[in-house]
Amino acid sequence: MSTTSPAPVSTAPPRARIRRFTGAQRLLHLILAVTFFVMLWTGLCMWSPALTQFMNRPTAKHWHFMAAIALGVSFLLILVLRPRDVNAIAKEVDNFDRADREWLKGGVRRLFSHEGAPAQGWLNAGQKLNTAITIGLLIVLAFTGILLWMGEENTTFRFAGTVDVHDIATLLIVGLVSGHLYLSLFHKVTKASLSGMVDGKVDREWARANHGRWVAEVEATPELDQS
Amino acid sequence: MDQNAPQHPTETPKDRLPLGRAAFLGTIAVGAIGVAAISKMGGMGVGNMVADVGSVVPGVDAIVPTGGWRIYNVQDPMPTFDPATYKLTIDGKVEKPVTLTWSDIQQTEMTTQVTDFHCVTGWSVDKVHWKGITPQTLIDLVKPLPEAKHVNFQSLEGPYFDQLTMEQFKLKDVMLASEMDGKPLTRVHGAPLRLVIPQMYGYKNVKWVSKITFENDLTPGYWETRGYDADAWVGRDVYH
Repeated sequence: MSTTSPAPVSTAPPRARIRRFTGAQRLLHLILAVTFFVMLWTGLCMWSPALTQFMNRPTAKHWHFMAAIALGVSFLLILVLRPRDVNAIAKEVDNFDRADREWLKGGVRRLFSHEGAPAQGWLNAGQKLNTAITIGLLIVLAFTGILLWMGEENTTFRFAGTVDVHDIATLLIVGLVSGHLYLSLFHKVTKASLSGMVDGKVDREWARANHGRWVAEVEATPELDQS
Repeated sequence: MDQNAPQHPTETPKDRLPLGRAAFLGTIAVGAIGVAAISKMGGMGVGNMVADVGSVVPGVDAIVPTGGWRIYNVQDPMPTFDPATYKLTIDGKVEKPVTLTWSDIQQTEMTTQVTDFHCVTGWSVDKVHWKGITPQTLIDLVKPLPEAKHVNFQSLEGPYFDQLTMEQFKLKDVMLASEMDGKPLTRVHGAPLRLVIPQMYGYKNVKWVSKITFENDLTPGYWETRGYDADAWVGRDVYH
């Protein structure tokens, strides 16, 4: 029988805030937010007769492309320079366990109420689905956008369905982003999460109430509790 | 690497499912299948659906594209038609150059046609009712010289112009339209006159036409200098 020394237990009381997102994760989120709204505005200028008077098509198209390229390049750079930070999100998003499924059962009801949610991990089931579908839609928008661009100069690539799918994907992603903004800015329970994307930290007690399993995991591993 | 990054240690119980991956890949698959399926149907006309909703609310056509159209311009703001000052000049290699006022144009003989309109960016509008002046009427008016091989269409929108060959200009469904779907052309559709050449993609259908010049030389149009095909035949896969 072997014996191991118990891990040193910190006697210091836990700090009031807990670190939720790294700098690289926040930077990626910021770049996604900025480029998304540039693409939305320039896309609307290419679509709406009212807005086309504020930005003509060549200008709107130029900035639409530039924003898309900036997003793609930024993502690849952060993936190369901070793979651990990106992989942490991918791994978390991919795993749905029993608690996630339980969360989803009352997810829609909680959108419009203040009731608490079942204990969740680092990301809750809604955040996981939102992340997975949003990134999927961004890829759909990227490949239909590339097809539209190529089809303008070489009609071999002009397909009647491309612009429709680009439109539908835009409507869906605008819906998801609207919900995301509502929950992070206005919803009484979830708006406390916003600071996690501003300075990386959230209130520890709020996190314990909403992401209890994650807080327990972090507190059980003192070197991870970088508050 | 950021050694302080939270690791979010997680166990992997048997009941874990890779639903995030499924949602991600499923979204991409639906998008790809959607492009193929909707293309096979000849387009779904999401823009037309918006139009159906929009057409019942007055003024909404200034905010959202209606009738399946999308409005493109290359200069801000798009031109505004003033009947008192508008003039259409037809010159170049012709026997009788003319400058027509809006009043002259209204008295010119016009014909009608119903044709489909296709944009190179992928959308189409079926069965557009056009009313306008035929090329033959313009040819009879100015009498092009034998060396006139091309026809330039200059837009009121400064940098925009495009060019057709004389053969393309004489196609039977080409017209200089002043009405669309039973109403005078609106500003966004190129008032007071736009070129209509249904056999070619929309960028050849110059809006806000202010000058027509018969030339001997080939001059690439606005989009042709930016990589587009000079002969924009609908449905012909031309790589240049």
